[in-house]
Amino acid sequence: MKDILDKYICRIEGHGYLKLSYEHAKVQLVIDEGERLFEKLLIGRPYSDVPFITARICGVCPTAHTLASINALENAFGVEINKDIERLRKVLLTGQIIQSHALHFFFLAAPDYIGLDNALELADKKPEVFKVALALKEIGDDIVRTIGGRQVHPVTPQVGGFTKKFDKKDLQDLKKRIEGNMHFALEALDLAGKFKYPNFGLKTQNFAITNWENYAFLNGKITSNTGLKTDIQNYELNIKEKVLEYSSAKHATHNKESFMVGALSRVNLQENKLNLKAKKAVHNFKNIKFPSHNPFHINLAQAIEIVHFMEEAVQCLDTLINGRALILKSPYKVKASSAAGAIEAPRGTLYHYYEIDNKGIIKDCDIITPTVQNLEDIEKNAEYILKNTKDLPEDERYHLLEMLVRAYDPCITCSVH
Amino acid sequence: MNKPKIGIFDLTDCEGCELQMLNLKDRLLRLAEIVDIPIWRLAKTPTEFGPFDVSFVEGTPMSADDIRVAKKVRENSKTVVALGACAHLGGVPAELDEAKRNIFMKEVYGKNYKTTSKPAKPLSAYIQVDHFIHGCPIDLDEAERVIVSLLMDKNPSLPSTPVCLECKERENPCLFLKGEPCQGPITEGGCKAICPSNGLRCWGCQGPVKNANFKAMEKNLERLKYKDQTENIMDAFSKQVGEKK
Repeated sequence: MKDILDKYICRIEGHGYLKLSYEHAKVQLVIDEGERLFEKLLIGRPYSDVPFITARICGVCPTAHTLASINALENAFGVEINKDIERLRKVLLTGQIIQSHALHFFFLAAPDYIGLDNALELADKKPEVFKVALALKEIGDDIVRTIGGRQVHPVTPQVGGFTKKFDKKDLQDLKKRIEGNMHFALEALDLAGKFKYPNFGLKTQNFAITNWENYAFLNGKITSNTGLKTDIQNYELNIKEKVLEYSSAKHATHNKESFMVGALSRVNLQENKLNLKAKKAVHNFKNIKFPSHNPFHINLAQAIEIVHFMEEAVQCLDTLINGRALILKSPYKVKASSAAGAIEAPRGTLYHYYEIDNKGIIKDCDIITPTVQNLEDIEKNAEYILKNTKDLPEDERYHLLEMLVRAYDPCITCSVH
Repeated sequence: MNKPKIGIFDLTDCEGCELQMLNLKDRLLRLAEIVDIPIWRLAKTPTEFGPFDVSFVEGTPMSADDIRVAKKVRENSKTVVALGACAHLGGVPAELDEAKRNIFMKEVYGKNYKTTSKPAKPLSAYIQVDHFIHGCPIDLDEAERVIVSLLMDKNPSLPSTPVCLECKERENPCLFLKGEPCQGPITEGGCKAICPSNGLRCWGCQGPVKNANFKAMEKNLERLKYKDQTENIMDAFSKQVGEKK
């Protein structure tokens, strides 16, 4: 069994391993996961099945897939969702991002910086850190459970709103629980600020959804640090996928160059729009300034976003609790149409596209996941590290590359959908 | 006394059930005190590659490595437990058979791409499976119950009652009576009827209940004017249309 399993990188979601030439500084991140062909198995199904099925693409970010698919379908039907629905979806998506970031930051990435092998060791050797880890994972899960109905694979979001009604008392209690855990998020950010991050990094293209009013995550325009600003319906023109023989995940590029999406891209593009506590903490960092092009700072950006999105959830819940009675269904009519949708998933911009006939049956589908957009950048930065570490022993160089892959938080299950 | 050795393995899938294992949180920590988990790729670097007292396998064997790993796990484990709907039933990807996959692979990856993967099938298509933890994703209470039973050398007993029982307990309005499809009557319970309780139909992710009457379900869907969606509704997690039992 060892001969098969030893090559796979541990503490990442899904099956990938590195094929390296140390001498020539060449890196291939081999993705070896069965092609499940979700885009095709949706064809012939009614649109209402889509949010349920697309969740199954990924157990780590199912809520992101559900919301991205709903966004695309609503764009196609021209549904104007009301503010209550939008706010409640925002709360749900903050929960998704917090649970995913907490999982990745503490259980997958942090052991690298603390010098441990895994998070269960963390429980033994750093119980004070482990306590923070569990609390933040739980508050993320709690938000998704309360709004989405279940922490993995949500059951309440649908086209036009939610399947169930929400009691304001439950929202009030949820808000209190988030506020009660805020100090853990600040402790995590403090910890992340003190990690010693390897200092590498090439200037790359940062992509994220942004809008004029706030730190965007549920709606906005495709934006880059190289001046691109375009409607999400133009995603296909700007994000091109290619097939490689060594990877069951495609690679995406913009203008034939690699680019980065996810927590660090978002912070780089919209640092000035972070919520107060997150912004204040970022200003207090002595040695780190944004925009940063050190991919290891993705982990720091995740800690920043945990604080930011907990503040965001509290604000949205506040408005919902203090407003009028909630209306969680927006009317719409099914029609033959097609449209893209995009949201910020924990790992970056997630695009879904659907073509639907006049009976509401799916005719075509396209999904571009954040990890597909990051893979090319991971390889490029890995080669850069190999070029700049020729004096180090091979095992240290290999460890750095594994750390790099983990820092990007690839979701391989998503990337091979 | 030596601690029992547990292996946790993932094949092709969404990793949601593994994540549910982590979501056991303090319950998992308590379990971790009385067992050794030398291999769990999502959580740690492997320290041993067998033998194992109990191995949990999540996902469907699709890639060549998946299939090899599944066989090695069987050779090296006293007990093998299929973790979640993909390992138990094949899961959502199993609706595509070889013929459909061949067409779609070309459409998605182009004609020059070569795959090592086979159509998604249940784990039991490749190896003998001793126990199952149902669901997409697994239910935390059921998972804990099965794990604890196995550690105590007991046969984990599962409900063997349809989802409808738990749905009625929660006083949900019956979707069938509203004229909507629902797999509840032919699906094994244990999920606390979470989907119908939240306004969705039961999708059958827990697999068929004992003596499930597939034929009657097909007729019902026809009566409710869902004839052209029968396969989509019934085969979402495992092949049921045309099955006898």
